[in-house]
Amino acid sequence: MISDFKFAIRTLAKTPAFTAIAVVTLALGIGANSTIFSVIDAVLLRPLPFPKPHEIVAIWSKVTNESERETESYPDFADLRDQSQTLDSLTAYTQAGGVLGSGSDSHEISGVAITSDVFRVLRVQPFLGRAFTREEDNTDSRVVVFTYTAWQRYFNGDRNLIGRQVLMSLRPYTVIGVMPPGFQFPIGVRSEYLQPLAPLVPTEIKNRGSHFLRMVGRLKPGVTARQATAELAAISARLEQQYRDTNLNRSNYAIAFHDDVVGDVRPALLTIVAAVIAVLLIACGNIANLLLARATARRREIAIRAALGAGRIQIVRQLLAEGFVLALAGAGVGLLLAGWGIDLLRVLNPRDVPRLDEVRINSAVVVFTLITAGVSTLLFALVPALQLSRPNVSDALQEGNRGGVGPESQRLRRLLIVAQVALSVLLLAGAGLLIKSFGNLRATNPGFDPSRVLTVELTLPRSKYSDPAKQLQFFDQLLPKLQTLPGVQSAGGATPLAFSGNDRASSFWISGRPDPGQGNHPNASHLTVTPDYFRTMRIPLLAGRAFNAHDTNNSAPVVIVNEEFVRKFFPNGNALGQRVVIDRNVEPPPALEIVGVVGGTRHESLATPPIPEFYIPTTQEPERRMNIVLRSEKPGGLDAAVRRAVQEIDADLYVPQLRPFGQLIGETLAQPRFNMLLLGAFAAVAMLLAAIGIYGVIAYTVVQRTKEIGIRMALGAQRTNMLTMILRQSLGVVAIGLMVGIVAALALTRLMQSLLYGVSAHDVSIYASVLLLLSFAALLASYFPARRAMRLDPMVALRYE
Amino acid sequence: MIKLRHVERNYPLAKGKFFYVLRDINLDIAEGEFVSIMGPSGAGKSSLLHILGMHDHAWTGEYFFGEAAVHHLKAKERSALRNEQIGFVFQQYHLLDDLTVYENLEIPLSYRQVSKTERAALVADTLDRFSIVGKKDLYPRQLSGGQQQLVGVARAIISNPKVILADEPTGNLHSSQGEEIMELFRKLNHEGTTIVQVTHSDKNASYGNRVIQLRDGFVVS
Repeated sequence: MISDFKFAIRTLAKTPAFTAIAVVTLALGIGANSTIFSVIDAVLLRPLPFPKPHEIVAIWSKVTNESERETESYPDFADLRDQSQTLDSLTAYTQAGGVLGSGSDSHEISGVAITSDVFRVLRVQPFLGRAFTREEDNTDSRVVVFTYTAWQRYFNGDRNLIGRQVLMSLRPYTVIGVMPPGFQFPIGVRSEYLQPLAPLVPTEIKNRGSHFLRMVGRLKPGVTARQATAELAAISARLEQQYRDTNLNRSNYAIAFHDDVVGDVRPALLTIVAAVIAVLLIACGNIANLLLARATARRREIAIRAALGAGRIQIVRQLLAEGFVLALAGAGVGLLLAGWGIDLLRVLNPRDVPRLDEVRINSAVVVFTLITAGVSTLLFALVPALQLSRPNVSDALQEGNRGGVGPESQRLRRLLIVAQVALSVLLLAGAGLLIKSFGNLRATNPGFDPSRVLTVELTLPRSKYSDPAKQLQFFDQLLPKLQTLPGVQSAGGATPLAFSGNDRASSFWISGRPDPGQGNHPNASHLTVTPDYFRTMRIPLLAGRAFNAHDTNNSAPVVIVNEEFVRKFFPNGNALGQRVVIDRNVEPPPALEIVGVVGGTRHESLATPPIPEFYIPTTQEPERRMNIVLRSEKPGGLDAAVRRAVQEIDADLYVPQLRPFGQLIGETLAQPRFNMLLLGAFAAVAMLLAAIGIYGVIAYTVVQRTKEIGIRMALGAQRTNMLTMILRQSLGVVAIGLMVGIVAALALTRLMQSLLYGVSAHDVSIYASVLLLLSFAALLASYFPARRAMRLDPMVALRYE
Repeated sequence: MIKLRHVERNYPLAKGKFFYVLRDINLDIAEGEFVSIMGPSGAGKSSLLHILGMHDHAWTGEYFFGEAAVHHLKAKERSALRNEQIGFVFQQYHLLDDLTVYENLEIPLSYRQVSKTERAALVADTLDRFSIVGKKDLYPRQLSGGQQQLVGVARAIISNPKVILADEPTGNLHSSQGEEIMELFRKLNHEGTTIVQVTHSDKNASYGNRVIQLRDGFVVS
């Protein structure tokens, strides 16, 4: 066996060009697979970094006929936690954020407000200090536990930090603990600290109708998610009976936390896995073709071995050893490529791929790469080895190196080309669909004009601005200052802002219509905006009026709705003057008059169509948190002026950097861009490899047919006859591959429909483009060997053996 | 019919030197002659035949084929002249392995833009003339060497060339098959076809009416 490998290395060293081409080809195929496996390993396969991760479940609410993934209220959470017998523990959380420190020494910081159950659910305790307790959950306990990373970043790993006070959004918090290195919760979200819920949302946690908490629980040993779901449904049914106003049609269910984290990204990753497997198959096809070509030259050597007594198994073993040496070298270079590939993936940084920071080349990836090398060896080397291991000894020895390995080998080589072309069609069609889909996404009108709009999120600390009148006063002072800044055309504000990743919905009813009861009220997106918001964003006013200075806290409450709202709730189109009653904790809830209708805007992403929205003026519903939007004459350069304007009003306020609105939209495009770039890159590699494969086969065919070409030319064939003969032969095989590929692509691209936007999986223009592109590549790949055939000197060709 | 004047053919060697395979060839072949080119291996026989067959263009001197000055013709004109006037017979037969006897005969006609019906008629005629009708659907590997060369000769004359150039046509055949082929050449020659053959065999040369001896690239007799 060792001698097989020694001989294999010596043989490959004698043909460096062949070896280099084979290793690079394999490295591309194996490297692509290793890169994507490293992502799959981190995202899908590697268990979450908590003890007994299979026991951890995400708990969601669903509302019949409305939504499958709803957040929950604190009172409902507490009932579920206290009544469940299947759950060992249950925690609820919401994202938090603020400013750490004050003045110039301040940092924007993200974290979670979470119940103390988290430490039991995740079975992780602080490595320094202590966790917070159930008692601290329900009181205004300003305590904080930092992550290890935050402790290092903001406090240089100061071990004396425990017990000290820090300012968070200008309120003093006592640092009670630091989590161990590697702790990250929620998964895939930037989070630097944990704090109890009560100080952040003191009123909301008392309201059963306020659904804003996500829940994560740990199953008792031996309990399944299905059993937990059955029990949670029973508890939900009891709560529904008890609290019909808030819990009508609500029910809870449990799913494995791992599935919950990776759920959305699975179709995209599996598509990319299919793509890299196709790339590897094409690469293996090329190597198989190269080996079949080499088989011709090695026929004599193998015949001599056979004549000297080598059995078929020994010959196959030796040839497989050569294949495996190639595959190992390819795997080594492939791992290098994978390392770069992973860096590249991080640069692309798709927002929706969780755990991407955990992706690295570890032992699992190395083992996978070695297995891939072994499987590849069988794929590309076995058939050529089997063919070569049946030499007709006397023929081969008499002919010396002449002749091919027969029509069987030719057929096999053509079959490989058909398969390679078909796989390339599949990949190019997939990539083409994603490219068109991405183009459609980019071209989608969001319903406003984001060009030259800058945005900054300002959060007024509760310590100073708990009074709504102060909040209103601050923004009333700020906006006129911003509007007069040089280069600013208009300034407005909104909460929540489109494309910011935040949304808010409120249930409401239309005054004058029969009330079906609070639990049955419909929802619509609820935004609070300043009067100039629509003008700044260039959202068209379709009917009625925009907000103005007369809409104050003392005037009649007003609301503006969008056209989707009108379409859904006023199908006759007569919305102006109607009144909307928003469910609030005030009795009686005010009826807001619809004074205007604006165009629909996309909020979550360009792929999500506009949904019914209503806008309330900030003067009637002040907010502590506001996304300021500025329409400017220039794309940037306003940071210092905005910071000065804010700090003229409140010198302690933290002002993050201004961001162009296009950047916010761009972030929501990161995932489709990531899919498109990856599949596009793999499709390009596939096409290149397939073209090289076609070139190799046709070039080899020309060599094989040299004598025939000589005869034909001696018998009167023109050079163009030879060119067309070779091209016809090549393109005939390619055409079969194209047809097979189209059929396969039509069948398989349906599976990626969920990744497409505004394009059918059977889009004719994409398939036509793929056919043209591949035909052109095939033509180019065939042209050069065909040209060589055309230029053959018949005299030389006739002597050629 | 064929007139060569001062024809030379060389191959470049290292350091700007040349190796001459043919030197100062002056040769006249009249219409209806049956000429044998003889000489030891390496004398330049095949090279001369390929120049006559207009496969080789890298020579100097003058070559007149009938009225045509071949040395002045462009590649396209040369190949048109060759297709019209010259047929080839090779030592290794050079039949196309994947084509039947019928298809092998059809090939030169297809390269001369002969219509399909005319091709069918000519092939049928030739099959009949060479008594190989029964073999028309066989592949070359299913024929004996003699039969393959018979097809080779049939293919050479199917487009009715004025000259047949044969490169050791019986080299791969046993004696009785060789004689059969040589008789066929004699018959074609009597019917008016000019034949130029390269041969090592005095016996084969005796079928012709003139022998040209080559040695080290020179015509010696």
